[in-house]
Amino acid sequence: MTENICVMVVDDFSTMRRIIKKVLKGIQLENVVEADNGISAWEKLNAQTDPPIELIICDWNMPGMTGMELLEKVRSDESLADIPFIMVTAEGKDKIDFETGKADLTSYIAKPFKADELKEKINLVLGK
Amino acid sequence: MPTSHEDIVARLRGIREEIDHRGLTEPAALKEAAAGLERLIREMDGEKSDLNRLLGLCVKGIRAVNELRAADTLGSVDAIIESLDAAEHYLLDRPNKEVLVREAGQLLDSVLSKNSGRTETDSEEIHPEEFVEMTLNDAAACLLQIDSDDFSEMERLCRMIDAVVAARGCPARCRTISEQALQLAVRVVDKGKADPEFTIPEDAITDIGLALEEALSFLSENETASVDTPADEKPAPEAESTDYLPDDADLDLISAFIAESGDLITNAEEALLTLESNPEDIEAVSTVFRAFHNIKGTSAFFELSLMTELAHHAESLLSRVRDGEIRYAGGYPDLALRSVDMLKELFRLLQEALNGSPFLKPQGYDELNGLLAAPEAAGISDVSEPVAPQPVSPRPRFDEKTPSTDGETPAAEPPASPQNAPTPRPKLQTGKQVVESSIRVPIDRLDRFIDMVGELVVSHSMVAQDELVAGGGHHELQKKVAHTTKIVRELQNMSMSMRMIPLKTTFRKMARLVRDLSRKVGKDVSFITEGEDTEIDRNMVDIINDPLVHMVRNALDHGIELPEVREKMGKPRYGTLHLSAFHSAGNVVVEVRDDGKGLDRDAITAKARERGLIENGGGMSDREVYNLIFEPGFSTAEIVSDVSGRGVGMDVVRRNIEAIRGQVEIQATPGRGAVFKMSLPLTLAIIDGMVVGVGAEKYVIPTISIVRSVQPNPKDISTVLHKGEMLTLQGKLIPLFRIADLFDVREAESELDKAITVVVENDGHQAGLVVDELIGSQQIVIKTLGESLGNITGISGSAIMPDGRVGLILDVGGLVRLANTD
Repeated sequence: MTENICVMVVDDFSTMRRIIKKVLKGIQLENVVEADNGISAWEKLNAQTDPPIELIICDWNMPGMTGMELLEKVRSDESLADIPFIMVTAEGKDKIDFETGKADLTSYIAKPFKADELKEKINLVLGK
Repeated sequence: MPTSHEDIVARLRGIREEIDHRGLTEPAALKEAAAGLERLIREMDGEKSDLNRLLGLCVKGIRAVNELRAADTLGSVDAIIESLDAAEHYLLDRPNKEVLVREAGQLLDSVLSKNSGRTETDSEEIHPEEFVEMTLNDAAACLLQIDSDDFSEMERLCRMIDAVVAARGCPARCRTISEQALQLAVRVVDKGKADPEFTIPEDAITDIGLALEEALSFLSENETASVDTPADEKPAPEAESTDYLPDDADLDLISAFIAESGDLITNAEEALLTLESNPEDIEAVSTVFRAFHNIKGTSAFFELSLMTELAHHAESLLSRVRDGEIRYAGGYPDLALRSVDMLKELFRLLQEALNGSPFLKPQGYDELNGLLAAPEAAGISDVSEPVAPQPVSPRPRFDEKTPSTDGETPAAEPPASPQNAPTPRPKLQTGKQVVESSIRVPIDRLDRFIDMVGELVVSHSMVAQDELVAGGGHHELQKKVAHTTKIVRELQNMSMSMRMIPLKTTFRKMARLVRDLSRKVGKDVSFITEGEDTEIDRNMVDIINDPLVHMVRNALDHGIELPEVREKMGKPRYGTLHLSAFHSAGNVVVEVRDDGKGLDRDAITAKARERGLIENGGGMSDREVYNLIFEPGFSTAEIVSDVSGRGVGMDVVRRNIEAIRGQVEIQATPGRGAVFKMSLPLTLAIIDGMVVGVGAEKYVIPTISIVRSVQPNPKDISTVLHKGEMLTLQGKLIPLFRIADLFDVREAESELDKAITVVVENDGHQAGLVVDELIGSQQIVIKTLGESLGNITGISGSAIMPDGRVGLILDVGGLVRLANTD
């Protein structure tokens, strides 16, 4: 069921992207679109992909456009607004709650995380 | 009484030079030196007790050497010279003078204490293990400088290692390794004694070096383990031997992490240096912050706790800077740079851990971590700490552009005025960043690719010049081949550009070097780089790094004067060091320019005369005199300081550069500064060459060095005693080389007026190479001759000619030098 889902992974640090991709592969999610900052993520979101992107896993702290800014843009775009959005961040819970109160964040995972934690979050978000 | 003070300094210097130059060969000189020193001590009235004690030790040392009681003669002399130098520093009121004097005293003490117990030492301050470490370090340094035929140096090395093995505080493991090194060294010495033709083999040096290194790293790993008796083999404390690499580590991902973090750290280091000159640069703060942040987050995933912890603390420090809580000044910059260094070390260790060694906690890790966690508790603040009695030397500034030019004190110095209240500053701004997409390719794969393209170029030109193609009649085929030629050329250009990288990274390393060195020698320097986007062959970057370090060190150590001296001379306190790179005539030129005191022509000629390099410097141009310092055997003040000494000499610098077909030269204006200039070929692999024929052989002369070709008139040729044939060309006498005679080629043209003389130039000198014919100019893909044929006079490499035969590339630099020295 989830096999064909396309996931977007946004992080400026390529090792982190590889880590996340590996975790995704572990739960049979092999269709991944990568972006190394918010700007290119936004461009790729707006380009048609087949199958369409159905989950965004995004780092908060990035040069160019931060994860927060990307989230706001995604949420204010009619065709993208419903995509689940998991923020990867090292910020504390208070700050996340405060900032994301303004935009609708589906879930977040705090760095450092273990592979299993991320898997759990993804499965939760995808309703598995 | 300033005169007598200066007098003392001058006499000290005299004594030091005396020992340096004649000490080992002439016992009388030593005796004189000791007596002179004793007179000095008496005259100085014992008012400076540390200094007096040091000088007293020197006297004792000189006597020991003179009476042949010293266990390590050369080591003792070195230590004595260093001590005298330190004493001079002290008297000149240089920065860190107390430390220098103390350190020199300790070193001398330790060296003398080896003197078979007959020279009683004044103190027992030196920990036996420290002695072992110092001696090992000295041995390693000695090994680095050994020439392949210098057996006396090798014997000295043996004595040093022997002292380590015999030392009371030597841990058993360290002793075993040192013994291995000793055996190797002794074997070399024995062979040398048995066979006068024997030279010290390179791999023996490597093996000894590796053993010494292993012993040293063992020492540093077990630094905290106290070792008292030789039999004592206490296990290191548990914390020190913990392997921090998790068992189930994903090695592939970790290597990717290491590679990517390397870039992050380099960027962070650069940003930190920018930050020091411009603490308001928010973009720089966030670059560093993000580097620490990413390393922290990712290392945590891999459970690399050492990195996570350090990066976490460093990140907190930077976030406090970002949030305006502290200013990036005072003790913080050092702390941040130390964290970067520690991270580098951690990644180096991690890389080694991937290759199988345990991932241990590096030395000083806990201390730094503690400092980072609570810098204020350790007295670190953003206020420049007042260090008495010397004024705090401001840090060098790092600018991309030229700041205020000569003649005035640079105005925009880092804010040195203590400011207690932290200035609030804008929050992190998100700037635009151009993200270039790229992939990483292993360098050996790239090298092979480029080699293959080189082969392709050669075999393609064989096709193109084949009778069948070039002979006419096959018009269609010619068109096709011409088209392929175009593609091949394009492919070649493309492949060459793939290995080209900007000099930026190298320049940044220099920025760090300048920063650290200028502090160490107490000089104020602003460092300016230009043209750091200039690209050179990646393989060349490593080769030019050492010469560059050498030149920068020289400029800082010997070129730029102390701030007080500069002021007295009416120069700005800040010395300027320019590092620039640019293209010029198919070469990349890298220049190190300082505005220091320049080179001392008289001192150089005097030294060169003394070393037998020249007879007298009267008729030489300044340029020729300055370039004498590149001659083998001309070592300048190398022992004098640990900054520019101890490493390679300038002759090695030149050899390294010439090995890649580059050139070095120095220009200087006394009192105004010096310029060291390296010209490097754009790439290592391809040159433009003129193919010439001699008999049945073909040779290649690099086009860049050809001045002209002539068919001389017989009346212009004369034979000069000891110089052979000379050609008078436009009033100049040019030595002639018959290539046929040089390489014993038969059936070559022997009539000079029928042959062709190719006039070549190198380093301002000319020579004429006599060949039969000029065949044509073309691009030549260079092949090395291989190790065994590496050193043939007159040949620098080989190339495959279009007809498939091998042509030798003439070493113009070597030939011209040969022609002009005989």
